[in-house]
Amino acid sequence: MRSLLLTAAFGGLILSSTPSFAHVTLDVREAPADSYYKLVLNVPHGCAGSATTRLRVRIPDGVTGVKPQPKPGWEVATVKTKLATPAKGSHGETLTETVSEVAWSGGKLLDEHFDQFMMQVHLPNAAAGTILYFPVVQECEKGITRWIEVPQPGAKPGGLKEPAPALRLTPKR
Amino acid sequence: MYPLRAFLVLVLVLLGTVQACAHAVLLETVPPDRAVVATSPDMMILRFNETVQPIAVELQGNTTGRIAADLVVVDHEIHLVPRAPLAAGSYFVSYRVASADSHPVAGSFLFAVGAAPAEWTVPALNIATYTGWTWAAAINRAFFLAAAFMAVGGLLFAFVVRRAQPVERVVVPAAQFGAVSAIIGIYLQGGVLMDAADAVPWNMEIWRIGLSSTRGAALIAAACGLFLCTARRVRFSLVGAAIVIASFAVSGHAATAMPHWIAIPTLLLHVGAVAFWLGSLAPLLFVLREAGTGRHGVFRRFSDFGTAIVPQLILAGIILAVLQIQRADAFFNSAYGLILALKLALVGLLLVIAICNRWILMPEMAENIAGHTGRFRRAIQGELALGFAILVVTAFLSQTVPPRSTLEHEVAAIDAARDTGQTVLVVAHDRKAVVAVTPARPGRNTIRVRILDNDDGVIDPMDVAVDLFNTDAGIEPLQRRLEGVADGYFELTGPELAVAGRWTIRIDALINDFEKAIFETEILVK
Repeated sequence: MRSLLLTAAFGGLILSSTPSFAHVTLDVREAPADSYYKLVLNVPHGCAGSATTRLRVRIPDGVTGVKPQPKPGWEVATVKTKLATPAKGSHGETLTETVSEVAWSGGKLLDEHFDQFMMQVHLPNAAAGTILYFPVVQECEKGITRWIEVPQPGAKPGGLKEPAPALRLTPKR
Repeated sequence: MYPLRAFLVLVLVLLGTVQACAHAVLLETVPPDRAVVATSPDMMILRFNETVQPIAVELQGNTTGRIAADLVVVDHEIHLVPRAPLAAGSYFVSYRVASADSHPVAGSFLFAVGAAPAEWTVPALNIATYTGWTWAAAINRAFFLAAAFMAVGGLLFAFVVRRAQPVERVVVPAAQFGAVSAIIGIYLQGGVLMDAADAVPWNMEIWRIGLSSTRGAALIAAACGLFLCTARRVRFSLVGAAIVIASFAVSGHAATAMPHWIAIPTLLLHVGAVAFWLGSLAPLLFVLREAGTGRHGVFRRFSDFGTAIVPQLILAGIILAVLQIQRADAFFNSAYGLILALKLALVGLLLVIAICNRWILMPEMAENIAGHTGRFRRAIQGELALGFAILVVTAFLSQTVPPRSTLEHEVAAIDAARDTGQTVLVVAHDRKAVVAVTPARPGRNTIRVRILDNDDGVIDPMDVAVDLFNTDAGIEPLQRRLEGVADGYFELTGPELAVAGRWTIRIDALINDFEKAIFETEILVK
């Protein structure tokens, strides 16, 4: 009986997590507001069989202190944009610009391989339950996949073909 | 010569029983009538079968009353954009527009935001068939027609029958009267269109509406033509007469009947012949006053022209009637048919008098039989009176809806037009997609998409793709890319919507590298 339940639970776990294996996702999908967060992007495959050569991540508004982790075999670059209204950094300093995009390029991640891309960010002091989207453009030797779909406000995230990696804020610690 | 012409006209009659298209018809609305939408629609769309002139298009809340909204006319559509988002509740849009034949068309549709109301309350809204305005417009029109025909016909008479006849005594006062009547007619037409029951009699808005209708344009042309008719030089006055006759092709039932290439020349022939006939009567009365033998020659010439023209006049009238009525049973079952029957009866009477004149009074005049002048005068006066009665009936005819707009096949044609596609407005993420599928029938279809921002500005996306699926028919998403055409439109023509039923269309519009707008809507393919 117990083994049956275990099997069912395990099967359920596999089923429920299956879609995630097929998408570019965040490794950890919840983090406290107003905290440092190690953002880990899982890249499980290329674009329809073709090797990944470039990965671009859009940083949502309010996320600051972006520091991508250098990755052997890849060049990392950031795009900075001026802030419309200067914001306060995590150490009380005034920020006039922020990183809006991080891109890793020059490498080659075969479709049959898996890799992770990391950066450290500081999450905004927003209400618990706020969802931050990190749209990703995955460029490959052949083709391009955009993990940029965002559900309608109030709608369930299901039903999206290529959802943007999402992070849910938990109460500030 | 005449048998040949009559034959040609008969051929035209046979060809003429082709499709007609009458008053403007509302084909589709967004949101559809009695639809429940989740969020406030950014605009309401009223799609007609032809370009219409909005007179009063209003958005009203069932509890809140009139809601401020901006009106935009785009081709055959009227867009009504509320200035603020609509709160949950039920609403209705009432419209009153002028169609191309210058008749008012009114109606309404309802929709709800949020939840469906317990009961749809249909606003009381009716279009009266004969109001004070229609009576005034019809009577004024009868006088206008009489004056215009007397002016134009008097000129034609002077030109083809008797040049020496001083035209000023008939043509100039008739033309002046007609021009004034035409200008009054513009105002009355505005009143008919607005159905301005509560409007002040001297309202600029009524003038504006009247002027911008097709009837207004026709009347301005007629007034200018009549003004030219008063010119002393024959060349100018004949141009004026031609303008007056041509103005009849601008507006009205006959001018908008299909096919145009039959209806308009026939109408012009009909109008020209009527003008000649009725316009000759007054000059003939003057000729009758003269003593001597010369007048018999004048009557003889008029009579020869008359016998040539009357058959054409009647044939042209029959063609026009066929275009309007199109089927025998509609003749007796509609107000239009009955008024037309009255007109034909009066025309018949007029013909009897004309025949008497030709076969009895003309020989009497030739032989100078005693008392013939008095009889002739009475006959012509009778013709004038009958002619005016016919014009009164004609004026009412022009204010009555012809049955061609209510016939079954007409309705079927309108249904077909209604089915030539569906247009849906989808709102998502502060953006709108206008999705049009034509003809929305199983088989080859064109899907046309345009993305707009919140302020109706056109967004030119990097890429637009659609997923087409039909869960009921077990059809999994078919992915297609749309091709960008001009002005932000993206299009796909193909056989994807192959079966009837509810199809879901999911639109992925790539706004920029990291932003994609996704819209989903259903289209009924039938």
